[in-house]
Amino acid sequence: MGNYPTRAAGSGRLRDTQPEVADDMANTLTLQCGVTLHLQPVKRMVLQNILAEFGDVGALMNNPALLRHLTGGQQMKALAATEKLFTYCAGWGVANEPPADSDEELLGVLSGGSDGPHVRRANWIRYVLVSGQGEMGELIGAVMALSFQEETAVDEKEQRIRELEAQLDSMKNGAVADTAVSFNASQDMPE
Amino acid sequence: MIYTYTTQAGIRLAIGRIPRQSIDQFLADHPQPEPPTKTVMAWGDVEEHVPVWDDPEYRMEMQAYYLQIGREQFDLITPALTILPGREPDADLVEMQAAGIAGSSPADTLRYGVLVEDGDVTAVVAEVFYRSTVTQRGIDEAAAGYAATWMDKPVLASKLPELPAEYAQSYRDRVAARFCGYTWNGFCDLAGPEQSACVAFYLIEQRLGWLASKLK
Repeated sequence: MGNYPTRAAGSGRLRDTQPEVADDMANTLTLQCGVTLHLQPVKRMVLQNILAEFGDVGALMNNPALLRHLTGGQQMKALAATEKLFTYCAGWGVANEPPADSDEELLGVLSGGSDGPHVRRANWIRYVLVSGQGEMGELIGAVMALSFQEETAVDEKEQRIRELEAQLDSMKNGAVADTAVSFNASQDMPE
Repeated sequence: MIYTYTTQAGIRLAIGRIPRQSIDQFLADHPQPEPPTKTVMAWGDVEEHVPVWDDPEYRMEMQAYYLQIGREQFDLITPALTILPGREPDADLVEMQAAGIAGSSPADTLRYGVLVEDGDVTAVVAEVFYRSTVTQRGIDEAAAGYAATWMDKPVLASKLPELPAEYAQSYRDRVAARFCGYTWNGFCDLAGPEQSACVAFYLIEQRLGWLASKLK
């Protein structure tokens, strides 16, 4: 993420503490500026699509140090994906509205001509509330955790993985055993 | 016949088919990660290399793999889908496009504005595949129609002796195509259910032949 102009709301005095996430896995995040954001889950499919834009996620997950050795093109790709991830999590994953006296002109310009409420909210959080990349990351993490952990979300995710596994196992151009068993699964899935 | 699907958000899609070769190529381009193996001593002091399915690194690789393939499958299936008049993708999509989160391509419209629920994606992908290539559902439907039984049981329920031979399903499909008198291109031009019916016919004939040979 770049060096965005940030200023704290409220007193403007920054605290040295990390943002506070309530214990109940919850749906609030208190920023260093003192503002408490009310979080809400976002669509997991959209999150997954943005995450996939990071490129070789598998290699990075196994060895985060690789981040330091990304080529220029890979860094740009990861940067763009990070921007999208923050905009989505802050714009769609936060319920707070920018206050009535917020700098409308500033938010309008920063929205790049988009009058959408989500992008305005994301810009308000990005340029007015958060105090740095660490806090931006905290917000992304909190919204993602909420989105993937709401009620049966984990079960659904695992189910989705099982479905994809079944889909791919039966469709891939890999080897299959020469037995009738291989062809008798009665699931409604592509081979 | 046009098949329509209504998403959980109420958007109606017409689902057609894509060339089978596109699916084969997609799968060939996305090989699944292989799990690491560990050596165990089997009965008779024979060493066996067994896959370690719960290896943490492998599981992370698989998660990343599914993430990637989950995104890229939209590019594959988009040509088969048409958004029907009626309820349109909501304002979120327009805003996501303005914010640069989503692009304006048809695949991104599906990705970020239409197929945004897990269940919708699974159902639509399965339907496109069913209409485009050989699927288990297609084989089951065709076999049920043929009603071929051996001693009152479906012929396909009988097991062939387990052979050490292994082959890709595309190889099986090619054999089935030739068995039914098609060239490979001619076979690929068939709709998915017809391809599946051809494979079902081949599998039934194969098993009937083997079962009959046991009578001699």
